[in-house]
Amino acid sequence: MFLSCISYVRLVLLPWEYSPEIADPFDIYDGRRLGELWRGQSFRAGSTIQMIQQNDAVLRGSGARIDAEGQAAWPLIIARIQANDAKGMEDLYHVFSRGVRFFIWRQLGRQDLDDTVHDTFLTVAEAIRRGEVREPDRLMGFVWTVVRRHLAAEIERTVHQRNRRAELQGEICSRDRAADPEWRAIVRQRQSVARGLLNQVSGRDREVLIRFYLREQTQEQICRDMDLTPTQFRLLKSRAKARLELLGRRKLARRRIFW
Amino acid sequence: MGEEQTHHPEDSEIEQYSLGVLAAEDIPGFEQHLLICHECQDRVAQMDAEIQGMQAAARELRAKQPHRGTGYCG
Repeated sequence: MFLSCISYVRLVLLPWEYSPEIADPFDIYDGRRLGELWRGQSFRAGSTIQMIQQNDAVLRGSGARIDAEGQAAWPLIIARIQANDAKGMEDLYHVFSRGVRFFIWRQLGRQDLDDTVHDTFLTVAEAIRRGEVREPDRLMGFVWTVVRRHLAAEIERTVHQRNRRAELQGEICSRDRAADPEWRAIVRQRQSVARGLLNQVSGRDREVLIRFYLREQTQEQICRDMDLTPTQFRLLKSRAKARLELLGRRKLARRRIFW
Repeated sequence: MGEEQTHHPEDSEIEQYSLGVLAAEDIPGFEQHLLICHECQDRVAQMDAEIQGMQAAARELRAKQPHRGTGYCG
């Protein structure tokens, strides 16, 4: 948290000290001043985080529009950010915050999720300001690289902390999606449906599914070992999927997954 | 960095990605598409849940019937 605050000041507050052309740059963040955020209890309760959540609803409805027009919009977003135009920061957040959140949630779970998304956003924004995005048309490639680096650093830090804890206290601290109770409940539901499927199918079909999903054997390997043609393999899998879908519909309403 | 995919990936690609077996050269384009496509983010999340559920059920079955000679031993 402390490091988040430091990076916030370094990357956001300081550059704007030298931007007298912006009447109130702090208005970017949901009409509230960053100064208020800074004095607030925590970033988690801050308006930036609220903005992510509010924007999320907007983004869910506007995905297709961003898909279709996104590439053409990147140079404009970059130009605005470099000109210290608040709209550029806002657009950048609109476009990628949900996707970045998804990636980080998928790898690291919910712990410190908002802070990590926020730090990633600031890293990208600062890099854009410094003119480090050499191909504006491929902004998402740049964002992807930053997210990947953040994730690698976080995972390395978690592994290091885990090893240290194990050495000192014999405790293992999990920091990934598996530690999220909501995610575990979703997987348990799916497990129950899959159990029903595995109990219904023939021994041979079951073996194919187990080889593919549990042992992660390739289609080629399974076909070779079990004397199946690729068409037979595909048919078997699509039949199993259809049955899984049917069982799932009977057993539970499809649960929406949030991150 | 790879080229951002402009089309939605097939279910088989989503499945490969969830299983962690998508070809390394396809990952950058796939993930850059995922960054901005909400529909595909949902598809990956659902696929992750299905695969993890299937793996847990298969593991459970294997633990219950370890010596039935079904040909799997992983």
